[in-house]
Formats: sequence, C-alpha cells, structure tokens
Amino acid sequence: MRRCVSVALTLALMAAQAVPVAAYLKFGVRVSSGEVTLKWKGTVRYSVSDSGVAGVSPAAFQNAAARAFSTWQAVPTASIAYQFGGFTSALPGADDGRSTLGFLEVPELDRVLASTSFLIDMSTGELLESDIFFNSAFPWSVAPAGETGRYDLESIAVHEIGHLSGLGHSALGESEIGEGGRRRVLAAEAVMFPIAFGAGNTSGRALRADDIAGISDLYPDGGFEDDTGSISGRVTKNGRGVFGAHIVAFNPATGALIGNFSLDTQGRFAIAGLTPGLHIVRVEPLDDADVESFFESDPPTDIDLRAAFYDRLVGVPRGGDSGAIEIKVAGK
Amino acid sequence: MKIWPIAILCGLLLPGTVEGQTVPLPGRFEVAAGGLWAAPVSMGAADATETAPNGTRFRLFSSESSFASAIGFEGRVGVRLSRALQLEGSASHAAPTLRTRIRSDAEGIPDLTLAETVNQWTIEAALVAHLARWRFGTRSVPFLSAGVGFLRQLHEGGTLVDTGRTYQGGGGVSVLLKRAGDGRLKSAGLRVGARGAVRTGGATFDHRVRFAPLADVSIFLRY
Repeated sequence: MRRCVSVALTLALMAAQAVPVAAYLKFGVRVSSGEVTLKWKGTVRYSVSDSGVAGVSPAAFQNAAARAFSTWQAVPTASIAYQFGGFTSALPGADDGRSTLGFLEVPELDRVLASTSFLIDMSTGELLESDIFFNSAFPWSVAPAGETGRYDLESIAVHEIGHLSGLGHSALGESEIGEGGRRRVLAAEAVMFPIAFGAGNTSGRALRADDIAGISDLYPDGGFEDDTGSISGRVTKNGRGVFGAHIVAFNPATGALIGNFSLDTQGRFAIAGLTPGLHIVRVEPLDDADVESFFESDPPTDIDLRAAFYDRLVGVPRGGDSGAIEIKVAGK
Repeated sequence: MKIWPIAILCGLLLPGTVEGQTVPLPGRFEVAAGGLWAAPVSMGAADATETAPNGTRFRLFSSESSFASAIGFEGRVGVRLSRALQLEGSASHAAPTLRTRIRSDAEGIPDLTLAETVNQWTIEAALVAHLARWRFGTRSVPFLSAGVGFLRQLHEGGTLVDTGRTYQGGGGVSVLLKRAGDGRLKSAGLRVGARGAVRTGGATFDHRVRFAPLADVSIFLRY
C-alpha cells in the first residue's frame, strides 16, 4: 500500500513541506532509503479543466498552458516531456491520479495567483500527480502581448510548470518592501523567482539561464553533464556553516546568472549547469522574498549575513567541478 | 586568409632583399633564448543584470577585467630559407595577473578587485625577413616578422584551461656580437624586437579580438 502525501507550493506565498536536496532547489522527500529528489519518470500527461473564466475560455487556457509546457520541453539540455491528455470536468486539487490545470475561486488567498500541489509516493519518492490551480479571484489574460490590469496566464503557468516538474523557487531577484508590507519586485532573472511581476507583464514567458540550468540538472540530456561544469564549496560565518545563503555565479563572457543555496548546516552548496569559463561568485542573504517560500523552518535559515563576493575568480571546467571553495561572510 | 600577413610581407620584402650579395647573419640554423614583456591588455567589461518589470536591465553589479603587464621567457629555433628569409618556431611562457574590478553593487558591497595568476604558453611559427639592404653599421640588421601561434592559458587551481590563437607581426634589429670562424658556431648576437599580437580566444569576457603588444630581447647563436 502506498502512503501518499500532498504538498502545496504557491507563487506568491508558499507552504512548503518539501526538503531541499543538493544542487538547485529541487524538491525532495525523505523515504526509508534516504532523501529522494522528486521527479517524473517518463512523459508527464496533463489535463485541463473545462471551465474557464471571464476572458479566458477553456480552449484559450489550454493553448496558453500548452505554450508554457512547450517552453520547458524546448530546453535542449533537458529531457522532460509533457503531453496534453484532454479536457476534464475534474478540478485541480483532487487526488485522482490525473494532473489537472484549471481555475479555482479562492478569494481568501489574496496574494496567491496560482499554486501547484503534488501527490507523492512516500515509499519511493515517485511523483504520482501534480495539479495547478489558477486563482480566479484575480483577472487573467491570454492576450499575445499581455493586457493591462490582467495577469498573463502563460507567464504564471511557466512558473507553476517549473514546480510541477520538480523545481523549487529561485532567489535570483530583487525586491523591496512596499506599502502594507507587500514586496515589490525590482527585477528578477529566473521565472522561478517566487514573486510575480505585476499584472500585464509577459516577461515570465521566457526561461532564463537559471531556469534552464535547474531543469537540465533535474532531467539532464543533450550533453548537459559533459558540456557544462559546476562550482561547489561552503559558505561560512565565523568558521561555521551558513544554511540558506544564496550564492550566484556570474559568467562575464555569457552574462548568465545562475544561483543556488547552501543547503545544509555545513554551508555546502553546488551550482551546476555553468558554461565553462571564469565566474564571479556572489553570496547574499535570502532577503528578497519570504524565507518560507524556499525552506521549511528547520534548520533555521541564516539571513544575518552581509552580501559579499568570493575573493577570487572561479574557473569552471567543461564536465567538471571548480574544486571546493570557501566563501567567508560576516554578520550584519 | 590567415596566410595573408606572411604572404604580403614576403611580397614586399623579397625584391629588396635578394639584391644583397652576402648573408646578413652568418649561419644556417639559429637557437635563441631570452625574455619578453607583454603590455597590459583589457579583457572586457560585463554587467551582471536582471530583468526589470518594464523590460529594462537592472544592474546587480559591474565588472571589468584586464591582464596586467607581465615578464616571461621565450625560446626560439630558426632555419634560414634564403639569404633574407628565415623560418622560426618559438615557445614562450608568461604568468600575467588577471584582475577583475567589481563595482556598483546593488546591495552596497564595496568595490573590490579580484586577482589571479594565469600561466600562459604560446607556441608560434613565424617567417622573418632580414633587411640587409637597410642594415646600419656592419653588425646591425633590421628584420620584419609575421607569424601565427597557439595560445594556452591555465588558470589558478588548475581546473580551467583556455585556448586561442595569435597572429603576430612586428620587427626589430639583430646585432652581431661575434662573428665566428670556420667552426660549427658561425655567429652570435643579440636580437631586440617588438610586435603586436592579435589574439582570438583565450580568456576573454566579451569575445572580442584582442591586440596585445609585446617586446622581446634574446641572445642567439647561429650554426
């Protein structure tokens, strides 16, 4: 008998019960044999609810979702594939063995545009089902160029399908606290950043280097492991490991920014999918989004650290690792 | 196309040099060793940016890199092809410091400079034309050279290797210090030169072709 559990992730707020595992914020679960990364085995078959909302018919919804799935499937260095399985009268959220995308009216979630949930076999870590609901309490659009005052369904779908595929949130973005304590996004360089751009914005339709590295790390294909390299090491403060620091590798030759986190109490991290060459490595506290949208509370995420650069350029070889580096940071 | 610099050089020089009746530098084979100086070279600038909601770029920080000047050593062998022309092969090593200046961090990290030493080897083949017609005195012979080479750069830590090509042209003067008799050693002297190397590949942050001035001085023996 399979013991299954549902896990919910949201775009604006997140109630994460997932466990981060090495290299990228991939979702993982603890099973009897240890930690297992959540990922799909084979083609992901999905259905679309046959109920639309004002301005978005079921067919238009399906077209936008298909474009969003295609965006992930088109990554040449990743092997994940998706297949539309037809319309359904079922709503997202039901544990019925069918991965369903659709609208739900959830006005009490006034900061949640969309949410992804999983049904996981806790004995093997296998993903059995993943549903995505789009909160119809918000205005939606499928207009090709976006629509003022309405959220671009395709952009939000790209983010949620990243979750559905097994990716957690990226911290490659900057925000500031605005009125009412709400965060305002200044910039982001990953569609997996947990806070969406405003209504009418369509820039979330295109994956960034960080997203491509993440999905390729999860489903490597097309020479990904042979043609790219990684940086690994530790983030330490006063000689002790820092959990939850955000580390970003910048390749000046390509302009690519790819990030990850220190994922254990030793402060260890690994950033994979880097184009071979010299990189500038920067570390910062996880303070541009709610910490809870990245990690569970144990171990506690250390955000009492000053942003800093690693004091050397880091050479990334093709198909290999830089060799462990230690980034020393100071408290605020 | 890569042959053009050499071909043009030969075309320009041969009419003038074949008129010389004596070999400008006695001896058919040459071995040489010496030092070189490489001028500073910019490696380009790059901003780390993120996408702002209005589609513009939000700058996280700026970076700018350059190789500092460096002193290295060079070994060379040559064989005379004609009275004026000589084919040479050379190998050189230098260890310039690659400096990357980081500034304007969005979260206020103070400006800083990262530095690493890059072990750089080049292997080159060059055609050298001795301009006997324009020699000055009895011992000094000017020359022009053009060649192509292979560049290999090993970064600190030994995990990353960059490779590239160099196309170089320049000139200088060879000064005979000793004209030997009938023994195996025919002559010995000092050569001073300057050249410009156009470099493709290697460590670069903007994929532009780089111009790298070099100067060298060497002691040669001719047999």
